[in-house]
Amino acid sequence: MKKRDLWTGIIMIALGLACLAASFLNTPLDSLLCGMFGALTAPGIVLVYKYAKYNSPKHAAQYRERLEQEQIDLRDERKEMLRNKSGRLAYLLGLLAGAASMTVFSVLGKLGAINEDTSRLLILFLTGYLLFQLLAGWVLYRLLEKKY
Amino acid sequence: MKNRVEELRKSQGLRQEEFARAIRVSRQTISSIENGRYSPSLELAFTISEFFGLPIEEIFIRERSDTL
Repeated sequence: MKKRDLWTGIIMIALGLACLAASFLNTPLDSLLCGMFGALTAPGIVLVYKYAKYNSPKHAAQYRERLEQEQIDLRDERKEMLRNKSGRLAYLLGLLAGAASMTVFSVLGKLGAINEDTSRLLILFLTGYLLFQLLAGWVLYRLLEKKY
Repeated sequence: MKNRVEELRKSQGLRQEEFARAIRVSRQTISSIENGRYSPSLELAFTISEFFGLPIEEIFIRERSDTL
């Protein structure tokens, strides 16, 4: 592994600890800062551990083999096809889930289960998000069609 | 699409992992090709044919539909 990975890990740990320290200042963002401490420190520790492990002569061959397999898996045509297919299915499921959520929040708002203003805001956000997804899908398809 | 990949691979004494590594694909792709669940691209088919030193038609057998 490169020295850059070690430095990235150290910086992530340092930033995580800084967030933890800031969380003791009793601000409204305390819980968010605690979350960021976990999100930064844990992967930072893993990165530093991996650097130490794979840079030792005992594991160098194992790391080279792992890197090579990663490169093969990245370029493997069947895996690429599966990633593309699953991406498209996830996109369609996302559209369905968004549409279903709009219906649910609309009904909940009308029935008074949630505040109607909140319901309206959620529906507005979901509408914008769905339209963005549809537009992005259409634009990207047209761009890819021209390219290929 | 039927093929002789498994037969040719075994005739050379190779395991799926070794064959996959030799032609730079994943072992799962080799398994899917041999089971007929996945048809390789033209590029990969040529790579396989070059590896075995045989023409593509002798490795991959296209079954023509009776309606054609």
